[in-house]
Amino acid sequence: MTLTPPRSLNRARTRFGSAPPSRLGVDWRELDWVMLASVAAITTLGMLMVYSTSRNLVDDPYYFVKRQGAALVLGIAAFLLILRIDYRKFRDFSLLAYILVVALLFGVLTPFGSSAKGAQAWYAFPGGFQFQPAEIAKFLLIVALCGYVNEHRGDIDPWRVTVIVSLAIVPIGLVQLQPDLGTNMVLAAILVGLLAVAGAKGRYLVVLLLLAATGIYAVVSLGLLKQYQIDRLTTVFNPEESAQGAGYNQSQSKATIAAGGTFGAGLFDGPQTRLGYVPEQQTDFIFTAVGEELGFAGAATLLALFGIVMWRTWRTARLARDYYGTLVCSAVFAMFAFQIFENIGMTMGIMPVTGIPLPLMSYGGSSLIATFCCLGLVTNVYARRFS
Amino acid sequence: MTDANSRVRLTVVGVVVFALFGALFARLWFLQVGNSTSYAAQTEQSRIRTIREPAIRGAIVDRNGQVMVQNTLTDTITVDRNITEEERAITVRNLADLLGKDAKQIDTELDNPGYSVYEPVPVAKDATFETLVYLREHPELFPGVSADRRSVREYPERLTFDDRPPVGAHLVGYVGSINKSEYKIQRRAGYSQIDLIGKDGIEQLFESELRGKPRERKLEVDSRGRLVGQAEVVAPEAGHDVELTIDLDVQRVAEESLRQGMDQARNYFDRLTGERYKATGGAVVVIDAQNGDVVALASAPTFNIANFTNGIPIQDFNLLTDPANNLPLIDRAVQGLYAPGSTFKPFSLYSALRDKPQVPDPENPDQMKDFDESFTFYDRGFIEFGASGQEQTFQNAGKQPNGIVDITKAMTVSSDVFWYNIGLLYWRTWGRGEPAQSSTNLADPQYGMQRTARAFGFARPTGIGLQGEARGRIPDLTFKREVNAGNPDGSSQVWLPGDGMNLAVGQGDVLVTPLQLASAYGALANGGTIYTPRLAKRVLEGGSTLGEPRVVRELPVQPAREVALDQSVVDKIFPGLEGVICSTEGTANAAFDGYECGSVMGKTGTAEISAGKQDTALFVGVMPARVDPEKPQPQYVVAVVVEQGGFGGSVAAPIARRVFDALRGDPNPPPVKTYRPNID
Repeated sequence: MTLTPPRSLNRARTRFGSAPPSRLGVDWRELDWVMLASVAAITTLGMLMVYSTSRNLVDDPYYFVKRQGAALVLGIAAFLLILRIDYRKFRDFSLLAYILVVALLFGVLTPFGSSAKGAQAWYAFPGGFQFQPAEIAKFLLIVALCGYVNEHRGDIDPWRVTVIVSLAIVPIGLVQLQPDLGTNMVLAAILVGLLAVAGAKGRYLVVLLLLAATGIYAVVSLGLLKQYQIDRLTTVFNPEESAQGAGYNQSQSKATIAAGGTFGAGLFDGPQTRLGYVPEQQTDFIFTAVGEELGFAGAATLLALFGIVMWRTWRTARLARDYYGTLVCSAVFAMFAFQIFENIGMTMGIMPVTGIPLPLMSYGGSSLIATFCCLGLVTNVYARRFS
Repeated sequence: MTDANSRVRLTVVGVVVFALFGALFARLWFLQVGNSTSYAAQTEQSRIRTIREPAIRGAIVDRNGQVMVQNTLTDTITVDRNITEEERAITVRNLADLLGKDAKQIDTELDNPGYSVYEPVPVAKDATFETLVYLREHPELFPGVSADRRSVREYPERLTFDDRPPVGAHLVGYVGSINKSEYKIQRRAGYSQIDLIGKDGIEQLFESELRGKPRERKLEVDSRGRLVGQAEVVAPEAGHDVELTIDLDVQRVAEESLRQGMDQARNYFDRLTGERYKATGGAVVVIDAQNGDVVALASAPTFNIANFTNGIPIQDFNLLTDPANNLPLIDRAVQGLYAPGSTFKPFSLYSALRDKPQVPDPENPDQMKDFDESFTFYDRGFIEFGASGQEQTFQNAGKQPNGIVDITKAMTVSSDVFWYNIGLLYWRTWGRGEPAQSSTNLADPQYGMQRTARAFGFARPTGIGLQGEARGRIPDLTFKREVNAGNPDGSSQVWLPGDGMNLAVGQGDVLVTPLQLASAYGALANGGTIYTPRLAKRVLEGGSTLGEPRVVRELPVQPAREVALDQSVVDKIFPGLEGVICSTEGTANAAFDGYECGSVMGKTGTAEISAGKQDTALFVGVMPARVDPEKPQPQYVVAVVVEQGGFGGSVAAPIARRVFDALRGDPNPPPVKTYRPNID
């Protein structure tokens, strides 16, 4: 007698037995609800803070919130789309992702791209929408590098490290031409995180860091950086001297967070925020609004929520059923860790000022969508950890 | 799943990131909870601008409620600095043309950092009607310019001479922009760097009462400096009015009389220098000896405090502090130091009658007896003493002999020789010690005159409260040794007979202020009470002096000390002082022509000054000489000093007489009538 396995056994095996048919493509019970709840909370707070910081910038107080909301819808759509596709399929898209990221970053430097604030970094679309390829480049580079590293599991020798670094150097170089130092630092963090987890020997990493240091020194001393970038980077070392110039952002930023005290001035009631004393507050300095209006209680809660997201991402990297899953989650983990630490650290004066958005909080559609893409990958790995 | 190696690496990365998050928490705690206040203050400082508008300053009225200083509105042209650079250039250029000012100067005024950016800056005060009309008709030429009415000081009572200066310039003082050192002292009292502050006189002394509380607005501005709201308002409180002890009519008469007397003194020739008297300055002090109230306080030359109301130009201010103009800013009544000359004689006579130095007994030529009222002396016009062949000579001011004088006649005719002899008697009785034994102890009997002078308030400030009050000086051996420190001449280190003789006639190193002189005569006349001079009687609610005065507080009469007066001794001195006025031989008899005997007593003085200066003319009078405690009434002391004015009897006494005329109820007495300088 031929035993035909029950139909259900052909389906993905899960902790809960057979998965019910789902439009998600995975059993909804297998999703990491702890992380998703934290993400939802952070995103909601982000929306409130975008409103708080941007309502006086233009005539329509909801202008920025509406645009951020639209991006959020797109981001959630991208999240769901990525979730439906088994993450292992992304291995097949490595080369495609790499070609895409290089093409996008190259294209933005051509007349197809447009420039603003001294950087050639955007694609402009009708209706005033803009797309910043450097943000999605984070996601694409993760897909591309993880695929390559996965193929060479166990033979991360100097040659392989060189290849991986070289692969990363191309998009990094293109981003530097925009220029966008902040994104490059994030890309570098992804690279380092990936190599660290993938098993590159400690000394390779040291060599890599030396190379990076040499590179930064070259970039600074050869004049590849604009003076304002150098000023912003060095301000953190002598904040008082430059409080009126390059350090203005940071001194205002620190003071605004400090003004919040323990419980803050109340949502939408921060005087510094209301009166626009912190430049770029709805984007890179949005944490200052949290600090001023919600105080230590609110800011620490936000940090804790970020901590939960980080923890769940790290946990997913450990729980992943295969090496590729671990690599993807590690890369995302490194990206989040760097962005959060650098961004919040910068607002509090312990890190140099660079243009890095705070994930899920900062105003900026491209960043929000890219973040949701990355979260989609992690959730994907988590949901399929048994299958 | 992953291999063990990857797990370890993942753990390491996790720990690193966990540590980084820990750092973020720690930093957040430090910023918001640990160190919150200083940063919070920093944000408020950049966000909140405080604007103060001065309250209405209190009025100053005399003892009868007559207004001496009040406020009036003046049209001030201001410029709002929230205009563009181009607009500012237009405004500055056109304002310079319109006001006849230097464009650079206007630019500098506009940049005055003392004003808040949100406050219009005044560039011209007291604008004329034509200017205002022109501004109204050509607003396009003056972007940001507007006119508002501001409150400034006004002085309704003016003197008749020169440019009609307000009455009591030195007394009232003036108001001006706070300077750096004042700001340092006063910033805690809520002053800002553009505030006005009382600079002198009553305006300074009662600054805290007159000023009131400024209106305070806290403006909240956004990051681009736009006004977004008023965060807080402190309501203004009008300054208090101050009711003085001054009698405005007497004050005015005192200043006019001083001026008249000085003008006339300049017509007389000084026989010693062969020039006309210069009469470079003078003072009149009128106090009530019964309570220390200051009735008038005049100093000449005076100046026009009205010129200060809109800010005095620096070159005009410099004229006021120029010695060539006799330093009009100096309040000679309290800051001037003069040798009292013969006006000091009552105090040295009081000393002698109390201390009783030894004199030869006329009935028993070999015996000595106590100095008393029976002592007579033959005034030959000079006195000599010292070893034969080395005699020193002291002589009367006019060298004229007065014949035999007793204490009363000596006072009446002002026999210097009689007082020189008193100084000599002190030395002969107690001061024969060798240099080594010469004592600086003031309790030493030979320093009886110094003790008396100090008891009457000389050589110490009266405490009137006006700035720069001088201390004065009564010379003693300590002083003499300080002056002659290092002088090998032994005679410079001991108290010599000549020192005491000079002191007895109020010459040499004796220095007093006119106020001290009046106060000392007051104590002599009132039975020995030294009062701290009182300038104001009451502090009243702002504006209430015009209707029913509402008292904020009373300023009490302040008896400072008692001189342990021997009234029997005083009674022996008074006849001589009355004789000065009443006797036909009296040095002030002519000046007080028409006054009944006994109504006024007084003493003239003509002090010789070294350094080639002409004599100082002095007179101190008291009216009435005695007050019956059963029937209290004011007892006015009038002290007059005229620098380089000649003789006390011919210049100072006539000035005092006109002031007494006013005190007796005549608000417009006949002009001062001085005499040729031939009486001391």
